[in-house]
Amino acid sequence: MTSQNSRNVLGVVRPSGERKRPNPPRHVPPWAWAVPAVLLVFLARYVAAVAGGWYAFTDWNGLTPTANFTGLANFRQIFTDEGARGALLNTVKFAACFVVLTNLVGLFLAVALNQHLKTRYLLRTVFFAPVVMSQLATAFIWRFLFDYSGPVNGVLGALGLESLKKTWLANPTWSFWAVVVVLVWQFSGLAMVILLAGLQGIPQEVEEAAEIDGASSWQRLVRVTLPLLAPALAISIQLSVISGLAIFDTVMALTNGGPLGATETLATQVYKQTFVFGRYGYGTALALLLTILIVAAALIQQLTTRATERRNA
Amino acid sequence: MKRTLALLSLTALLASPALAQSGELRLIAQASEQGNPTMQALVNAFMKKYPNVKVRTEFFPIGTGYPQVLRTQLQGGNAPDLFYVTAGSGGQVSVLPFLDAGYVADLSKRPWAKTVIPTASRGLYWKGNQLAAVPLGMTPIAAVYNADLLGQLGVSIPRTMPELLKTCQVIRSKGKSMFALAGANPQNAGLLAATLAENYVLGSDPQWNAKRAAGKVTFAGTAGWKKALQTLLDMQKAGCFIPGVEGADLPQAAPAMASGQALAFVIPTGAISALKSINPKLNLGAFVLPGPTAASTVLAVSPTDAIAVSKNSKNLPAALAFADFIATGGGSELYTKATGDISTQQAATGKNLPPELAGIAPALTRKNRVFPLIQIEWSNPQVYTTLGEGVQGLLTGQLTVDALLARMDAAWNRK
Repeated sequence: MTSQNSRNVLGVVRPSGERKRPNPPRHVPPWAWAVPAVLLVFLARYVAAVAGGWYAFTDWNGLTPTANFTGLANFRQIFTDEGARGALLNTVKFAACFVVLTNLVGLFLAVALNQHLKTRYLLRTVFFAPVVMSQLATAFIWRFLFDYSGPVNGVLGALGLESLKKTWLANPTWSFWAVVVVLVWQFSGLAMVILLAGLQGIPQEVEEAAEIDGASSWQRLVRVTLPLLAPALAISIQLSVISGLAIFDTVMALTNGGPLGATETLATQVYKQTFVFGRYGYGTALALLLTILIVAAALIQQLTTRATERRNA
Repeated sequence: MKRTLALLSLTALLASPALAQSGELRLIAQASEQGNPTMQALVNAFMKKYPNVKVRTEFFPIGTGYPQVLRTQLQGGNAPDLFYVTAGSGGQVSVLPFLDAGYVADLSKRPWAKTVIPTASRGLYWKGNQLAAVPLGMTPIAAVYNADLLGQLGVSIPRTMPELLKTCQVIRSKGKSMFALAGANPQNAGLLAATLAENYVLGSDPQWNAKRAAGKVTFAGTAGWKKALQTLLDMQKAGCFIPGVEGADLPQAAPAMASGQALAFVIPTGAISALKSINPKLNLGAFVLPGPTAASTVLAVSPTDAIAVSKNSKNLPAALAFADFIATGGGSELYTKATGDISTQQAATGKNLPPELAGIAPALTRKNRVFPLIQIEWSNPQVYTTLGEGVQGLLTGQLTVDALLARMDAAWNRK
């Protein structure tokens, strides 16, 4: 019996019945396959976002079929309303604390776990684990920890520090820091992973050369490691700036923006005004402001990083 | 002859309302972590009576989850046939804004329309000559208390606010608290303030809401409102509330009452079943939150839970049959019996109440001393939320009474 199969240049056997697939016509550009997907993303994300943005200039209540154009009235209200201004200020404060603290803690963890510890893989997993946990679920656990009758006050009481016991989540000052603690606990692991990847890209010889030249550990960190870590640090900072400005779940579950707006952010205000109070127009204006803030912060950070890189080059 | 008789019987059967309706309905409502067994029981009873109608239920989380889903479905053209609403216009799922927006069917032509809603609450469901929903029952707001703990503490039920403040101090000296309160939950914190306002505002001026709507009075300019909120601060000073009240939410406050750390909880009596689900052994009673004097004390009772029929229901006859079932077919009785709410008949007479509510029976029949909840006629949900969040601000010392009332006026005027 004669074999009906044929073998191509790569050695792949093609059954005789299978026809050779014709080459695509040469006039179709190679990127054409991506057009439907790009179009879908463009329509579903960008066109929808821009179309939604129009509501920022209306008084739509989410129920009526029509919306009245009100110009910049919603934006004027944002800057004259005490609650909205407080939310804007809190957003910036949260973002600043979030960026600084998550990256500092992340850097500390990355440097520490870049050493040849026997348990380094286990510890990396432990510190990264909170990142992949549900923000809502963890916030409810922290809520239990911070409760007046909860373990935090319980430990303080057991240590004889009764005077330090507080209603952490309802204290106008401490509620802000309670939220920051939870955020830093949850997201430092992400900064750690990014920076750890950066650290492992630094050639060992450079560190060793600095050590031979007599540089102390601190000098090696500041003069050698950190400059070489700059690209990874830039990515980590950029991500934390964006996340820090859009903080929502943790605040909602921990404090619901309280007490009396002490932890309110633009994102929580967007949700409350839009979905709780049915002020879709005003809520969209807040969302637009938040978007502009995030884009501006990301651009500034990007330009600053490039300028630094050019100076260092 | 047999065949004729059979045909006649079949015709008679099909002519009965229970079999005339058929098809499928979709009902959406809010639910707690335990679901909404009461609403499901109501639906099951309806399907038993109308075997040709299948009602599919969908429950969404209480709080902001359900209002968001409801609004999205109505706005998106995917309206359910039947949906849970509350009365008036001051809440997140208040029915009158939905009527204004053209989403609910007018029920004014139903045979029960003129009789099922008490005159005092008519404005909460009627707008012009349109009826927006059918109420499921009446909800008194009362201090629901642990009767066994009351005996153990050796105190008696306070009849006036000065008595209540003294009782708080006695109870605190025994290591317990008079009231559980979710100070960080705007709905629960607002409810206590609103119940105090029933006594201090509506007690002396029953038309206050109408005057506020007409712009003739303001929150900040009303002495009764200042007294109500000052009383709340007096209660805090007297140690009436659980420790850490300003940071407590419902998961902390309800167990505090159910476990015997606090004597009472000011709640809609419809929440009694939820308290009993935490501790089935609770022996509960209820008393009216007192005003400055026993004579001036009023009780808040109004229809709140209700069902609206979608204007665009594809099976309007069956949906209307569901509304009829609630109003006159035994649905309301079934619902109120399960929740701890009361029927309009029970509210009017004070008779045949569940044993837990026996303590409020005399107050129910006091002429001109029973009012709907003060907040359900307010202009928008933000006013009540401002009050609720403001109570937390008062408890933490972030806000003064005058500043909170000014905020409420600002929220009232917001569109």
